[in-house]
Amino acid sequence: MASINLSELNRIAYIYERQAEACVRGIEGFYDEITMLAKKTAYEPLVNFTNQIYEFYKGELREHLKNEFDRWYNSEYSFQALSRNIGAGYAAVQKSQSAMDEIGAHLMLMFQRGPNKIYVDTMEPQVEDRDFETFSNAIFICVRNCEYANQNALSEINMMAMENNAVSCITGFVRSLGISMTQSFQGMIGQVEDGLGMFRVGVGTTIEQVPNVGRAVDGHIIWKKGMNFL
Amino acid sequence: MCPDFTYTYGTDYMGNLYPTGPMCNIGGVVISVYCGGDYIYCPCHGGDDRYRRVDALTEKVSDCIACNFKECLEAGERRMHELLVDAAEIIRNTNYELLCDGYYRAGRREFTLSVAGRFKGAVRSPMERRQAEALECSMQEALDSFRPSEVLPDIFVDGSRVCVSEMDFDNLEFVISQIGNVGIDLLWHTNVCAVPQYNYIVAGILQNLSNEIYLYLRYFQECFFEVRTQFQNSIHSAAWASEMGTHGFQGAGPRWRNDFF
Repeated sequence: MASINLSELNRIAYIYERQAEACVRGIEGFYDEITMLAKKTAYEPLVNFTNQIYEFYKGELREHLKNEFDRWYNSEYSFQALSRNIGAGYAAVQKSQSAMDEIGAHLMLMFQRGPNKIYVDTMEPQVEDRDFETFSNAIFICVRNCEYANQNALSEINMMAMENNAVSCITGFVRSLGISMTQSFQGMIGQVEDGLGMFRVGVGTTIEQVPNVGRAVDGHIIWKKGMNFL
Repeated sequence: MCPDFTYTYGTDYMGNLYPTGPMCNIGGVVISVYCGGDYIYCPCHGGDDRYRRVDALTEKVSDCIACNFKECLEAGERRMHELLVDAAEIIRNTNYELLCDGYYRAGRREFTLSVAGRFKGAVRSPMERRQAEALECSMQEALDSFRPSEVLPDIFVDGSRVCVSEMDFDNLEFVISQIGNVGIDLLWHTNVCAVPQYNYIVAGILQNLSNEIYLYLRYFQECFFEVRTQFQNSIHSAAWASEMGTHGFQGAGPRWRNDFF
């Protein structure tokens, strides 16, 4: 049964605000973890990658989500388009627009907070395979936190949409936001694995060049007898 | 309303009551009323001293045709106003501008009915003609004053608080459908007109009015149906498009800087 209640648009903005807040908390936690790891290892590629994540978050991801928001804002399924299409009148269109502006402001706030760039002295790196695993785990946890926040927001919005169809207009955008966040962070897991591979190859190549020490097989160092003290 | 009156009764050979000499009291002056004829008018509608009749068999007191007609229309208009008040209340609570526009568009429809010549064509004597003219004049006046658009309750909506559901449309449809009953109720009044040769004329006029009321109802229904369709289509297409508009992140994401490996 179709129904519209524009008075509830502020509540939707609030739900979205909580979702964004939960995502930012998850990302901040993740960034704290990888910052600590970068500082501990003092390994320049890892420090750079951590800063790349920062730049990605404040740059590419922000731009992508801003575009998603703009697309929704200007689409035929925005709140204001719905108000216009059902013929709810000027005041309703204004109200819808202000609710959307509020959501846009929350979206931008997500990026005003969040991680900061790090500076680490990388003269004495101390890194091992396990550090990459820790990095991957931090991403997994971040993805899970984002997914959890999105699922909560979506289920709340879907519940509301059952009684107020105006809410269903934002479902696509909220889902898109969730998918974008999780996909972009999940993509980093592959990058970390690549980094681990490169790290192993780099170490293996170097070891192989040292005579009578060992050889690298599939990125793993096979030490010569008596050399495993290294 | 017709003036007060009193009756004296006799009984026919079968023992039924029939009026023998009703007395009419107009402003304290008692006038003898002739009740043997079939034409009944009160003095204000051109009747001299004949304006009511008691049916000897049913004992049913019949009003003056014109007064009865006017009262009947007034009752219909009152009922219609009540229904429009209910409809306006539903719309006001939705704060839905398009629905409000539909209400005004339908509600301002005018009724155009004429009774000219209907009675005059059915009478013969000059006296009856004079009464028929008065009757037509009076009925036309009653018909002209039957203007639901003039008693249409005003609605002011606050679009920023739009809250409308299918249930509102259902309720509105139910309330508006009751307008059809107003027209049907009017037709019942034809039964209380005691003049057989005028009865069908009155019935015809009321039938026309009932048809007009039905068209009024249909116009409301069409307007609301139009709004409802637009409402439903907009919602469904918005919900559908919203789902279709879901996109993930297709970008490259952060990368290792290879110069360090």
